[in-house]
Amino acid sequence: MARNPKHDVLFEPIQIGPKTMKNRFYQIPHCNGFGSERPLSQAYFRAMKAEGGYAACCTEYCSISPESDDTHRVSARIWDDGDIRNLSIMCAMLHEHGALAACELWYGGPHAPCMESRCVPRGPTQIPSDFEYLTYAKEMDKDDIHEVQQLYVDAAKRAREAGFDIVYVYGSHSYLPQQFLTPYYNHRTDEYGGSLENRARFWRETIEQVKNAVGSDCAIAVRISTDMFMGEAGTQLERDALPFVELVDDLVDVWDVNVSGISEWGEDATPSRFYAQGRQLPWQAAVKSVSKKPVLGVGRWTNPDAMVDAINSGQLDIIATCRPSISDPFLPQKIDEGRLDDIRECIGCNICISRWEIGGPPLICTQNATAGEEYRRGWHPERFERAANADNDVLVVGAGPAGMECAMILGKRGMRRVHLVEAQDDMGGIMRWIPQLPGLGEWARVVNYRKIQIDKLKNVEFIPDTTLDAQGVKDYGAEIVIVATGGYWATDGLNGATHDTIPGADASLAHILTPEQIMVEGKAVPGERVVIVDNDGYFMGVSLAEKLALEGKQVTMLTPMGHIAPYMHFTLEAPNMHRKLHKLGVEIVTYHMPTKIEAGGVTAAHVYDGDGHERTWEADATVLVTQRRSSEALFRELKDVDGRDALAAEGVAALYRIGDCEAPRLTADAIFSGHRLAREIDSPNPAVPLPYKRERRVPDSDALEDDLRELRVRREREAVPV
Amino acid sequence: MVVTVGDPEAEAALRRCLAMGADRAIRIDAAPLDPISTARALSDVVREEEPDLVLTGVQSADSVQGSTGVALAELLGLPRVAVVKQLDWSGGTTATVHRELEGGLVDVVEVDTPAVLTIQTGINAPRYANLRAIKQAEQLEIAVVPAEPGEASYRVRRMFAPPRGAGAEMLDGGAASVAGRIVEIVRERLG
Repeated sequence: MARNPKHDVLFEPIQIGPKTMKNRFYQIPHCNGFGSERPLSQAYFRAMKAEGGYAACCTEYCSISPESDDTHRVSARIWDDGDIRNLSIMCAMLHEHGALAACELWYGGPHAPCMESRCVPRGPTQIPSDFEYLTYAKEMDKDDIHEVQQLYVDAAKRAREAGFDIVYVYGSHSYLPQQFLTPYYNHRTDEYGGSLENRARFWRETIEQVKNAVGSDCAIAVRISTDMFMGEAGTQLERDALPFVELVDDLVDVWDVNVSGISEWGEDATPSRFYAQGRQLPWQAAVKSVSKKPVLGVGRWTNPDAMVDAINSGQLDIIATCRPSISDPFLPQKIDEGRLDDIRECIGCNICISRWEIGGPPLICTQNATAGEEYRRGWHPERFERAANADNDVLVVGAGPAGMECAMILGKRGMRRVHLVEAQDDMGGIMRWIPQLPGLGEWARVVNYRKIQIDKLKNVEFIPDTTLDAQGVKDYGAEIVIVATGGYWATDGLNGATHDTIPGADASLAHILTPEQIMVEGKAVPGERVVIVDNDGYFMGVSLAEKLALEGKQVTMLTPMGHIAPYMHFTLEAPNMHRKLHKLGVEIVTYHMPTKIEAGGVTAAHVYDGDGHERTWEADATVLVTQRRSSEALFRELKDVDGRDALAAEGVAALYRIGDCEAPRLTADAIFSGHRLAREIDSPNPAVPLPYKRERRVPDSDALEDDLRELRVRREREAVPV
Repeated sequence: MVVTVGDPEAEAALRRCLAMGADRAIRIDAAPLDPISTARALSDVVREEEPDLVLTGVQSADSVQGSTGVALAELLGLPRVAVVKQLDWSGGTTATVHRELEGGLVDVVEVDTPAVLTIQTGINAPRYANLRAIKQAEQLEIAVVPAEPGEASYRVRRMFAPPRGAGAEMLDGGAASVAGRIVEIVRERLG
């Protein structure tokens, strides 16, 4: 297929300083958990996007000095020759694909806890971080200012040596240059504080010095938050950002424009729960209106028509994507080829970001199971090898996220026939009803993408309205059987806090309900007062609280944890979720675990001081969001009752299970599980994942011998005669 | 039993029917020119098989003529009911048939059998064919019957995209102004 001519503007080259981007697709700096210390994972991850058509890809934030060490989180680092060498692999691979490489030079100031380097970060004013506990900076004097500016210059030279084409002086997300610009961080009274000209001085001088050092070889990018939404204290568009842009526009080759500070950066990396595509356009357009330079910006762009509008209406020059490029590294190529229904659209769940916020693990993606697996598992999101056992027929029981993914990938791997059999009348499993929770509509993209792909695969057939029992499975005629029957919310209050049920919890009673009963079965929530017991800690409890409060109920959320929905801090949904629940009058009770549930209310005790501190919350209905269990009856019967020999007698050579049926986890994990099994369906033991390549240092045996010899000599020398 | 007219590619559909429970399948090896010649090719086989009931589709997905079934009935001299959405028949000499009309109307008729019924999509949820049945169907023989193409009943002179008509008025602007203009147009036309 060919590109729709109305999308042509997205494929026009654009000049940024001394470099040319071949089209308008840019992968914005974003974390992946690889940094400079997993260089191959890093390089393969970024290169996949270049292969998919991106004209330029950036590192994540890249520390310029051990003074700016974000450990426990993983940043890139360009501190020394080793980092140059490691990051040069990424640059070389991007260049192979005709893409530019960008490096986001970063100095965190008081936000950098320096837990590995044990250095002291420097900042404009000594106020602890609003993002990180117990983290202080040393207040910078003039020498410090010149030294830190030199750190930027030295790092920029190293970036150039590594092969980067674009070098950032990064301020957004409340990092050092923008701290100087912002009264919230900058209380100085010298020529680096006070007036806009003074607050802009550090950033202006730094850009100038970096430009002088590398500007003839590298494009200079500046990433600025144009509004921190913090009133007078924060950066403001008219007062600070636009005058700053005008002040330094001549020094800058490309503007990277967003909003927010770091402590609520979900205003920038917006969850779909709260914001739609293109939400930052008004700020990006404002910068474009005062700048002579190209402007790029994110907006969770997945729709090419919206991208074209953003460019043609003069609001942006370059379409920058973070999450949509994780969800589909081939977004540009698919638009170029007119294959719009093959785009795996980001759902805006922010599970990718959650991994950075947790601090360390590689990123994951709900939509794209191959994200982060490019190097270590060798997975390509668009290429599939024909399975060695492709002459087999496969039965997948259950068309939820895991079953759909598994059937789709098995289809792409050329299995002779794949039957995806579902008890309900359509595909989707839990993702048919979860998107009906308030704000989660875009999560339905999980189902839509897979449905379209499965429909295109001639060897995959979807069979709805069909419940298979063990006999039905054995009679089915498949050589490979994969059970993907999902999971369910506990009906008896079983939970991870007490590892027991809750006395009185029984969802067969009218006043006790589970999420499925409310969302799928339509069970009425009696009365006005509802207590939601949340031991889950993610979106289900709060989503039901919002839904029921919107329906006019008086809702209390009760959790043994210290926060409601603590995982939503990692997905950046927490601030707005709290705002919403607070406005809706939802009462939040933390550190309390129910001891009994009765028709009139829920009695709970403080988790650390239960004795004599029980309290009862009156309630007409109690919703149990305590834990999920696998729906594994079919799998157990096939494995335990029938057993391998009985199955073999019916021609079933292999039996596996995937997704929530194995263990109820994140949807991203369920999809990964289905994908993983399909990728490895022809491995020696598909039930067990193949080992992945680990990027770690393994000392060679000579080095080990040397260390041991040295130890022996020292022990002998220091030995005390008996 | 199931019958179709076409080249060997058409056997995939017959095998699917066999997997879903048909006992036998016949492919009439011909490249029909139009619905009438398709019906002619079918009529010899149907006559020979002497079925109690003949079911066809309402229309093909490509040329959407909607004529093969009724033409077949005419050639066989059998009663026919078109666009059937419900069938009650216990194998006796009459069947009660619900015929779909425009505007949601349903015509309930009794028809003597043998008869030809053209069946509307969605009349039943077909049973699925499991993999075992599909594999068994692969082993079954499909009888191939030759047929003469015969005379075409009409010839296609020309195919063309209809010319763009004049007189369409595109309404621009916001929802309120578009709605306002529509009200004006409706008032003008109603006089």
